[in-house]
Parts: sequence; C-alpha cells; structure tokens
Amino acid sequence: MSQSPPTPNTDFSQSSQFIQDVRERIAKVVVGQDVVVERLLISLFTGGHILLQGVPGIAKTLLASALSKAMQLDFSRIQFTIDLLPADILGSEILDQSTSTFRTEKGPIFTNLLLADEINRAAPKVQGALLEAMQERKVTIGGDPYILPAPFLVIATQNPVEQSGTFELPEAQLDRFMLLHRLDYPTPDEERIILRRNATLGVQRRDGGAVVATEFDVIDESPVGGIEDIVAAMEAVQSVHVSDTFLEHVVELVGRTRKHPDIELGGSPRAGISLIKASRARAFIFGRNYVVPEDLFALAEDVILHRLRLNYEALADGKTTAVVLQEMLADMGSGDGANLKGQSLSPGTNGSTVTAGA
Amino acid sequence: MISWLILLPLALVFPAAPTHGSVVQEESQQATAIPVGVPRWSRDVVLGGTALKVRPADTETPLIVRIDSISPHGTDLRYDFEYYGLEPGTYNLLDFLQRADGSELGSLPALQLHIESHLPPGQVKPNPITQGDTPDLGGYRQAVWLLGIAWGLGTLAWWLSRRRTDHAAQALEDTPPPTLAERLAPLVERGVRGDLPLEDQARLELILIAIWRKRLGLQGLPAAEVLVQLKQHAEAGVLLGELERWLHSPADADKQTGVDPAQLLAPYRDLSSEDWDREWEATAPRPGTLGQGG
Repeated sequence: MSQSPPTPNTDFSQSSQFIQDVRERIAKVVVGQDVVVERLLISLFTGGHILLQGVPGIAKTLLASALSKAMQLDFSRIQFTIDLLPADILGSEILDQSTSTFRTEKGPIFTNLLLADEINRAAPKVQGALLEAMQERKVTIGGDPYILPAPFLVIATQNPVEQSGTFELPEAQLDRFMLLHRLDYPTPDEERIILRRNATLGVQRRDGGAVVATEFDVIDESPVGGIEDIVAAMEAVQSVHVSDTFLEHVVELVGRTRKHPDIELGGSPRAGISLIKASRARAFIFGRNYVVPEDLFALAEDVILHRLRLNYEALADGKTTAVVLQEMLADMGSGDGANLKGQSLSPGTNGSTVTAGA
Repeated sequence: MISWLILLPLALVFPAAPTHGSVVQEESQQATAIPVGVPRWSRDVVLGGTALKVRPADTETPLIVRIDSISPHGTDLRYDFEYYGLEPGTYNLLDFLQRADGSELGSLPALQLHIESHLPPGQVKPNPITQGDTPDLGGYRQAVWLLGIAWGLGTLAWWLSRRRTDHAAQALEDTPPPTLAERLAPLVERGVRGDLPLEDQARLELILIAIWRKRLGLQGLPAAEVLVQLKQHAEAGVLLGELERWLHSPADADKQTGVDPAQLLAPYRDLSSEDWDREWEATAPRPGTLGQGG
C-alpha cells in the first residue's frame, strides 16, 4: 500500500533521519514489507507488542533480526512448540552444586527484541506466561521479581493456515497485542528482486569449510542508531498532538464496533488507547507533530480487527471481521450516524461494501 | 276462603238445586259461556237414583260428555263430568245421560250449559292468527345492534388507521435519504460562522472525506487507501490537507497555518444536492485515471 509522502517537520528531523536509516538498512535485506517495518517501529516507539500473522517464509525472522541489529538491540528467538514450558521462556533457578546454592538462570525473554515464533503452537500456560510478562514487563523467578530490559518488544508470529495442533489465542490475550498485522506475499516485482538477491548470495567460508550463505549472513552488523535514539523517538511520540476531533473519530469508530449488529465482541477501551498510541507513532514516523484521520484509517485494521468477534449470524452469512470493519470505516461520515450527535441521519447513500482480505 | 270463592259462582249458576242432591261445579265454567270445543269439568255433582251413563253419541251430537268418575254419596251418587260443545247453544247435561240400568231419569235438576262460538256464523275455519311484535327480551336485540355497529365502526377505524400508517410508511420509504450534501450543508454553515461544536467538526471532516470518496469513485477501495488516494488528488488533497491543519494541528499552530474555515468551506456552501450529483457525474474519473488529475 502506498503511503502519503511524509511532511518533514524540523522538530522531528533527527528522529526522522534515524527512522529513515533504519528503513534503508532493513530494506537492504528485506524486500518490500515497508508497512511491516512501519508497524514494528510503531510498536517499538509506543511500548506495545505486535503479532504478525502470515504464512512461513516471508522473512519475519529476518526482519526482526535486521531490525535488532540496525538498532543495536538484543534479540532472541523462541520457537514455540507444544512441549515448551514457561521456565524455558522466563528462566529458572538452578542448583549450583559447587556452591550448593540456587542461582537464577534468566530465560530468553530477557532481551530487547523477542521473536515468539508460532506462538499459537505452545500450550496456554506458556502463552499466558509470555503474555503476562508482556503486560507487566517483569517476571518472577523463584519468588524474586526481575524487571525486563527496556525497551522490550515482543514480535509474535502465527500461521493462519495450519491450525492443527495449535492453541488459538483467546480474545483476552489477543487484546494484549497492540497490533496484529497480516503479512501478504510480496508483489511479483518484489519477488523478482528477492530471487535475484538470493541467487547472488554465494557461499561463506567458515572454519576451513563453507556454507551456503543466507540473507542473515548479509545483514550489516553496524547499527544505525541505539537505544538513545529509540528513547528519543519514544519521547517524541509522546509530544505528538492529538486533537479533540481525532478523539471523536476514535470514539466513534470504537463505538461502532460495539453497536454493529454483526459483532458480538466489540473494541475494548484498550483498543481506543492503542489506536491513539499507534496513530501518534505513525504521525511521528511520517514527520507530523499531530495525528490525522489517515493514521486512524491506516491503523484501524491492525489495531482493532483482532479485538473483534463476529456473532453466529454473521459467521453463518460468511462475513469476516475485515469486511465488517471496512464497512464501518466506509460508513463513517456517510453512514447511518449511529454514534453521531445533533443530527438525525439516515442510512448511507453510497451503500458501498468494501472488500478486503480477511 | 278458597272454597267460598269457588262455591259463590256455583250458587249463582245453580240457584234451584234440589234438596236431595247438590251440585258443585268448577269455577267460572257456568258463569260464562263455554267456547266451542273447549273442555270443561263439573265435579262432585250429586244426583239421585241409579247410576248414570253417557248416551251414545253420533255425528250430530252437539255436546260430547264423559263421566270421569262415579262415587257413592250417601244414598245418591257423586259424578265428575267432562264435556265440550260442538255446536253453540244452551244444553242440559242430563239430556246426554241415561240410566245405566235403562230406567227413567226421573226428576233430576237440570244442568244447564251455554256453548257459544267465537266465530261468525257459517265460518268453519278459525280466525287467522295475527302475529304480534316480538317481545322485548331485556334489550338483547338493541345490544346486538349496538355491538354490530360498534364492531363495524371499530373495523373501519382500524382500517383507516392502518391505511394512514401504511401511507406514512410508504411515504417515508419513498423519501430518499438525505444526501451527503444535505448533511453537509448545516455543518458548513456553522463552520463558516465559526461556531461548529467539536462533535460536528468530526462529522464535517468525515462527511467531506465521504463526499470526495464518492466524487472520485473510490468506494471500492479500503478506507486506508482512500485517504492516500485523496491526498494525491489535486483538489481534494489541498482541501483535506487544510482541513487537517485546521482541525488537528496543535492550537498554537493555527496562526501559522493560517487556515480560514470560512474560505475553506465556501465552495461547499451553496451547492444543492442536485448540483453535487450533477458535478459528480461530470467529474467522475475514468478507470485508471485516479491520481493523474493534477
């Protein structure tokens, strides 16, 4: 999806350069996926977490790895499986026989950037342990609390196709993710570039032998910024202005999700909060010091869609949350005005039904 | 007391009753004429001599007599007679009796009967029955009528009411929903005057976006893509950009942006919905030309 050209803002010039450098660095190894990079930055700058939903092989791990190296962040990856235990993520106390004392072995969650690969393959108690840590930003090992590093961003992934042997995240846990972004396949042009790049990777000599090089091997290890830049960006995001008019838009959209006849579970207050947080970060990324409706419309699907649940009648009719949400967005302004005040409005005149990927 | 009331008229009818026999007859049958064919009874008539029986009757017999019972009364006998006349006239009941043993009746007191006909002479058939009015049965018929009228009026009122409601609903259904321009007009007016409330500011912005989305034929695009496309359009992009600066930029930036709401909204002020529709039809972009319009 194309984006509006960013309007440079002198206040954000330093951060804008940092963001531009990050994007360029990632683009060297990951083709396309500009929107995903934007969503990752939004999550990072707002302290939220992101769930990426897409089929395997579309560079989710590569993207997280490139992002961590570009920003000089610690990076861990956990492949979630059915036999994973909470201690495998959080850490545990281990008896040191030399001193006959317990020492704490911190788990892979103690990192800045955690890639929780295929989170829906782990048992609910493991999912719960991770999601609790995401929420509280601390873990308890052997009765002692440990604060997680800052910044702390969880990039979870799940495969939407193969659902056998998985534990679907319930709505209450999905709500912990600020964003759920649905990854698409690259466009044909992007795919040609991917194939050309891959064909030129060659082999890498190692320990007298050689391995076929991968995209991970070509990631530039030198960072373009550090935690200080991220902190500056986080502070800048907090200075982005949110107008009362924009708040009205958010209130109306969230209210519509609660009143829509096809929806059983609408957006929570956290959805509205997340929408504003994400909008501020997006405005910052695009060099604005105030949010605009474009931010809301661009982020609505990623912020709100996973918090909605259709009712039985809508499911029986073959509707999807994506279609219903697009209908609601299209009806804002031209629709029935169910949540509007001051004027009685009748159903929309355009009656458009926007199709979107489910 | 009752016996006196019975005996008194009998005494008037039979004033010359013999000493050796008394006659007690039913009330009123002797006091008034007996209609033809209507039976009457004379009970406890005491007559001397041997037992009596009814003479055999023929087709010419004007009075039909029957002895209901005979019972002893001292040396005499007590009779209960039943009779009815077939021809008008005055008759002696004894003329239609005879001794059962064939002896003479002897000197018995006369038992006079007067049979009269209510029909004029020569009339054989009875008078036609005149049908009277149906008696008033406690107002039932009126109640039925009233109920019927009330039901009819109620049904009529219900039908008229439903017809009116249907017409109103049909009229409402036939009334086209307000167009985007009609919805926009009051908001623009207030925006130009500078007294647009916060909620209406949000509505104004969304309606303008909806208007441009329709105007440029972008209804089929996802909402996020619509705004991107609108921003790239020469006219819509400028308008929406200024609108965003007016509504969303920080308050202290208003003077910097210099957005004048009255000037911004002026093009939308006097356009009727028909004008909008005509303009949309005229300016609707051909497929594939979006974003190239300057």
